[in-house]
Amino acid sequence: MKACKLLLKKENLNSTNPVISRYMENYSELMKIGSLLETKEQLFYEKDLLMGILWEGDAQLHTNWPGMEKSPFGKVIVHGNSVTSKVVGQLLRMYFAEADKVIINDLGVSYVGAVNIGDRIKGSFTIVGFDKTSKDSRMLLDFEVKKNKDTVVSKGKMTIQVVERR
Amino acid sequence: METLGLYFEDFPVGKTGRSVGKTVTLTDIQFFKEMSGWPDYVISGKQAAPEMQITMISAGLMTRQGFYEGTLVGIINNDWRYAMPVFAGDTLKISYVVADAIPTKKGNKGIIVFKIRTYNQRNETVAEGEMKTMMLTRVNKPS
Repeated sequence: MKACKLLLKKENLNSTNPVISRYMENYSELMKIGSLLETKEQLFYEKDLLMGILWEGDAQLHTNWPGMEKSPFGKVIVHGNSVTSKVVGQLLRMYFAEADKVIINDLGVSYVGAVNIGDRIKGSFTIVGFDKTSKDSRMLLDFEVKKNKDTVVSKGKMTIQVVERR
Repeated sequence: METLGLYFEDFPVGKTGRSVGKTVTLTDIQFFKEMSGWPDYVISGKQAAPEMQITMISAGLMTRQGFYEGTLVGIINNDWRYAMPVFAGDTLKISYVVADAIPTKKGNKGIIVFKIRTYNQRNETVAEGEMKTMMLTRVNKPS
């Protein structure tokens, strides 16, 4: 399996970035079945609880600190969908910044482990297929999210539609 | 102390419900992008809500049913298909049906499978999802 090493050492993701420009020259070669698209490690902070609190709103697992100390989790956990959002968001920024837009057609994820504040999260996305029957080619990806290098916290699959600039 | 939430046994297969509405604002979209790192998502010149935000708002409208309070162990699976974009100003609601209810071997918990439809103010389906949630059973209910 070939790893797509997109070395984004800076957060500058515009097309004048020479790293991105070189990457785009090889874009077609990298975007093929079997390619591995890895995100950078992201440290989860207390502020990352806010996404789930704002839009999902469930309090017990994510904001009740003494309550969660007595639970099997031992401490407050980050919303699984917040973890997925941050990992997929970074995937789109790292690998599809030059697209006009990326439409997510479907996304399924199973949560198999808890993420806590202070954990470092990294996503690995593998291109498993293309559906070229649609107007814009659809890319099928399997993904796995790990914390602290080796513990799997979620697994999923998604179909994305990459709309190139015209 | 009595919980506000419902237990596994309170979700027979076929049980249905619907939510209140949530209007998505431009601030919602911008905050979400800021917090998640999601790139700009512009369709026909208008900012659209990232798909994961639609999932999270839908999950939030489920939370507002109140039945998770104190009885939700965790959401173990989310599987969503997105049918159309959501823009600032759209008002989302969800309707749900309990598609399956599977008790665990120990009998202290069970998995509820919700089929959810998220729709806008024109009753257009914007997303459809399946959420598997682990809920406590009444074995855990304080006497």
